[in-house]
Amino acid sequence: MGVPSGYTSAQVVQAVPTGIASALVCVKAETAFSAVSSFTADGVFTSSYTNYLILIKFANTSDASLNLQFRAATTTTTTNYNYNGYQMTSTAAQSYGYYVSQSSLKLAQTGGSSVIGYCEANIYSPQIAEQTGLIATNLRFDGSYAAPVAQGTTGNQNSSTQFDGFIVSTSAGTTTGSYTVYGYAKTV
Amino acid sequence: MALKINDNGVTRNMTTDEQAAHEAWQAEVATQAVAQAEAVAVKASARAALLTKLGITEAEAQLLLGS
Repeated sequence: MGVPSGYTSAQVVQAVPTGIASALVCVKAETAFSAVSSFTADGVFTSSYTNYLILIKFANTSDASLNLQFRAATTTTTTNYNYNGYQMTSTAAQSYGYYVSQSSLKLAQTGGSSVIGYCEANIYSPQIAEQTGLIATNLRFDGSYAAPVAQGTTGNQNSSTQFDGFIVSTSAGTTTGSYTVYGYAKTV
Repeated sequence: MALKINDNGVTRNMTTDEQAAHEAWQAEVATQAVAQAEAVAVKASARAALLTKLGITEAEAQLLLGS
């Protein structure tokens, strides 16, 4: 492609060829929350995408967990959640063990003291009439940014409910931060 | 005290029903966490008792089991 007269190559905006689509599409713009016990996102899971990515930045006032529940038409499902996970500190790696038939999925653990942590949660098939899967990774800091703790959760909501949204709640205290939801493109 | 919820980007007080559900859920999560911790402790205690019975240390058990 030539550079038009009067322009440098850095000033040329090149068109994206037809058929080239973004692989990760933002379906819920970055949304801030402040000093809340929970936050909801409804109408984010659609038939347009099969799998989704949720990115969360959070800071909690208490040493607590952030838990995820799925929603359909603004009604929260409170049963049939199953998960396992891990936590690694500087000295120990520990399994959560099996949590079966729970009321929610542990999405992230928080260190309290309003120290910022991050969570990335991949959600599988929420709009398909089968189990909905979760694979999440969480970085938290316990009181100091020099003490990172690695955590992760794998689990599911074992029903055929077709979900369109979710709610994240803190098991104690309040949380402040932001979240963004993306859909994974499923066609080339 | 009314708890706050960010409802699809809008922060507001929880309704009475929402707050009751949230507090019931918090109590349930706490109960589940205690039960899980107790189950882990029971398993660890049984493991320690078995190691004592076998006369080997935790490190030696890990060498044997490869874990």
